[in-house]
Amino acid sequence: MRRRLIDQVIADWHFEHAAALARHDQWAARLATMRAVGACARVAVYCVAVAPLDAFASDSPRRVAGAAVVATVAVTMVIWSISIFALVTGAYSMDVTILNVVLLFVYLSPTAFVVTIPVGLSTGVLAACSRPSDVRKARIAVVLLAVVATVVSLTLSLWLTPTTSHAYRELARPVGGELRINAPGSIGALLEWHQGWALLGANAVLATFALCAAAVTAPQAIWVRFWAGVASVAYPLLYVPAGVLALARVVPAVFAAWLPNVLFATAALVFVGWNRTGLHPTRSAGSEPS
Amino acid sequence: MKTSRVPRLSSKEQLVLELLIEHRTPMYGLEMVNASRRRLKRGTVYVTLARMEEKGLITSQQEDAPPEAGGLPRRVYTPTVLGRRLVDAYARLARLLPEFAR
Repeated sequence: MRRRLIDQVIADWHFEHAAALARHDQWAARLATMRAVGACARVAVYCVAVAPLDAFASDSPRRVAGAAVVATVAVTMVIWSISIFALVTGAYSMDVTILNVVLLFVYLSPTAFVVTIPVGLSTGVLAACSRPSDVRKARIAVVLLAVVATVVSLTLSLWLTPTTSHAYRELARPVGGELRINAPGSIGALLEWHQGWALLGANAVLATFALCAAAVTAPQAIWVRFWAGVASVAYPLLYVPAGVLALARVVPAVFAAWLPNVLFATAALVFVGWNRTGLHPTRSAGSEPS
Repeated sequence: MKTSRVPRLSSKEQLVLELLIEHRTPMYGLEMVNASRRRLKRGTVYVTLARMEEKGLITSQQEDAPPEAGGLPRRVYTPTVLGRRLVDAYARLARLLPEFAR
């Protein structure tokens, strides 16, 4: 399958390239080469990532679960890359050995999963559900996944994260000590406590948000899903400005912690309202189906 | 309850079948990309074609090797009877049930 797909892209390139050279059009020949490289890259991505997922997941719930796992791993790797960046730029004073780097990732993962599981679930739903019928088939599975994700996050937060976070700090030994623990009773500690609970609620909020966005049937629904996916990935970043406001005592810590969830829940309600008011042309009489 | 297995047709697959039926002669992938006015992409058209062949909607045949050495032979595609019937059925369904076509 893989060879057959790539072979056809190469065959096309040969013909297109030869035809351009026969016309003495060097730029068209170069363009054909560039396009062929792009096409080969897309086929490679399909063969490596999409086809195995398709083979695993023949129905919507399994497709959602598979996509959620892939998205969670991908977002976790992004968080890992931040640690790699800190290592490379000398922000950590740890001894760089293979064992230490592996341990660093192991210690970081429980903390990362608390954030990446809800984000992965949301992007997984958006990736796997491309039409309202997919949402209808997958919604029970998504609710179950959200419950399981919340239990996993709760377990990680209560039992694993305190130990692994401490071990991470001890191992990384950040230069300047910017990974210090907030003093008990401080506004930072209070914010962190509320954020922990808000992240547990994120599983339900982001799953609902993704289902509502995927169910939108507007003509440009694919863009709604795309931007909803971008928003889901950017969800953890919302904690930063909200936290800054809380630390400056502009807003209460509980408000700052739950603000991202409130925003996403509101967006979900907007999507529901959008579908109910029938703004899209497929529900108006005599329209052309797309 | 056992459900009957009616082959599904995505919008891309429908477009490929319509192009092949309209063209009347076998087409190769890049030809379909050019004829589709950028609705098909060269990076994904062969994936779609391979999937359609697995579903029995189209058949393919390798062209003879190019006269000059160095090039790979291209594969040309034709719709099967099932593919023709399915695209016809979808077109009729879309006319009858515009409300549920999505």
